Amino acid sequence: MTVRFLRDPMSLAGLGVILLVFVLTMAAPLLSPHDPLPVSLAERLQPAGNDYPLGTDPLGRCLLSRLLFGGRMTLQYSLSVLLIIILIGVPAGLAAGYLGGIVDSILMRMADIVLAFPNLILALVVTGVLGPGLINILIALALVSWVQYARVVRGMVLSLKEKEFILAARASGTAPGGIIWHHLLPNVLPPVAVMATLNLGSLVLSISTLSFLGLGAQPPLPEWGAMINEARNYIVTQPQLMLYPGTAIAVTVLGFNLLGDGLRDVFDPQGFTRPRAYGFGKGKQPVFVAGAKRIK
Amino acid sequence: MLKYLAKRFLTLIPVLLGVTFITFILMDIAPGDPAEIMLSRRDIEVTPENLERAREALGLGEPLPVRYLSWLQGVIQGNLGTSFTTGEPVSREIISRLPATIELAAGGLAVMFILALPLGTAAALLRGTFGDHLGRLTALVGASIPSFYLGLLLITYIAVPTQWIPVMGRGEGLIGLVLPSITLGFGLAATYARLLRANLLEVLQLDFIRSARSRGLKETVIIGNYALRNALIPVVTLLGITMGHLLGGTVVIERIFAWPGVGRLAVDAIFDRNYPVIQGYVLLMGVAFVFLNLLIDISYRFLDPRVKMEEGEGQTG
Repeated sequence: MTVRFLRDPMSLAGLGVILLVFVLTMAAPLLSPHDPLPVSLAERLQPAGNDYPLGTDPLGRCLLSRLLFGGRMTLQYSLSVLLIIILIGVPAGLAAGYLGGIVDSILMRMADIVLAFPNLILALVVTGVLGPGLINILIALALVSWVQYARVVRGMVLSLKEKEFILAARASGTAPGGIIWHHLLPNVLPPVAVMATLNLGSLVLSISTLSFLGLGAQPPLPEWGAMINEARNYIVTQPQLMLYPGTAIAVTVLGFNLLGDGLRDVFDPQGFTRPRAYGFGKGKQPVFVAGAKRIK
Repeated sequence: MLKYLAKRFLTLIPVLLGVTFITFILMDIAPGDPAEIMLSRRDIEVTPENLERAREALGLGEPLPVRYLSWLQGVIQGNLGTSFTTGEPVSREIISRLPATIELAAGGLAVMFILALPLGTAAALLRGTFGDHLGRLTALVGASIPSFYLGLLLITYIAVPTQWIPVMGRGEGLIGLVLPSITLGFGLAATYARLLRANLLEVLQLDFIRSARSRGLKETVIIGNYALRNALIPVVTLLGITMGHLLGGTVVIERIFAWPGVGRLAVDAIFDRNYPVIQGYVLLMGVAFVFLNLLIDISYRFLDPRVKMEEGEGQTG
């Protein structure tokens, strides 16, 4: 499996990009030439040079330092959201799929409500009600995203449940908790890892989009989307102000997409996480569906 | 068919009730006193008497379920409350902004199809060649660029230097729609081109294509008339989810291009903590999303006569 993964140049490129972005942004305090926050109007809009490798922004802050710290902010929050939704979504899906009955009904009704709305709009509304801020964005995104995981995991559990090895475990008297922990969870995790990788890209997009709208990181904190928002009045005269953070977002998301695509080919050959390619009618198929179709 | 429609509409109701109720609860636990917010938005002095009056007007003295029910009652009568900032009825504000958003969504959808159809078909026919790989990379890049960044790039490097197209607002005629539509449709086109390629390759392996070839039909007929039509069915399936991206995307694009639609109304409302408008927007988006998905489900029947409507279960509505 590893060999197959390592042979695909695109996934390798994705992995390389992700590692590079992680190292650069997580080492921001070490690599940044300046403090990203203090304003010094005397040095506003300096060109790139020895003192400021990428120049300064309209408030005289070092662009490179803000870019590095901004990426750190974006990635930290994306990872936090991801962790939260996996911790909620995977157990919820396991419980709904294996236990069935009322647990399943309640969870899936909640999923229906969340899925009835475009993700970004729901996140927008939740942040809108809670007020702008990165923590509120985190809550909003977690609230709207856990459902995807719950659904996919539930679908996988439903098909695994009928397999011989689970029946054998049940016949030999393993408790439900043991079956879920020792037999279902290990089988569910690889596709979840694929989803998580692809999801990280879209979380980076969501967080920077909400920040661009002014709902996420508040000034003077650096964040890629917020930096582009700050650059809006200068796009014609000082395009580099948006080009750096914009390209940074695009490259990071591309890295996650490349990696996720490659991982999917290797770790999810049944295509649980793939948008369903061919299926007739039968109601709508949400994105990560294949196995997650409701079984009556 | 009618029975199916009725069933779908019935599943819509609990979903909408659930979402609007959750928004209500969130607004209730959110910090800040709506009465105070309303006064400050209308530049009325915040005195105890004024506050008391505002609370009364908003019905804040009542417990949450009672307030929700009276809001619902209003909705049924077409009354969504009044905006905190302007004092206008929310329904009127939303309706006046709606055409701009619909125009934008339609434009985005059009751009998506115009780009995705030829590119997806070409990629399938050129499978495995350099062009195909280039297509895969382009699609991945296209899906990775945030739409707000793409919009700003288009403004900076196309609209401003050439002066061909107005950059802000709806402008005269349809020309103002060009850049916003491209911004909205581009990322989606990338995804769809890939999906279409995969579907086409799958369909091209089926028996009926081989028999069409053996009958000596022209390749253009086989692709255009046989394969493409079948490959498009799953594409339509995915449209339901795309509608969500489209509706969400309009929010961002309306902000970049100063487009006077409901998305901007909603973002402004969010900054003003203008709760009645936010609540109205939630309701509108829920109804629109559910309704569009219903339309898509119905359209299967016309694309694929094998689908029987009554079988479809109205899952997520």
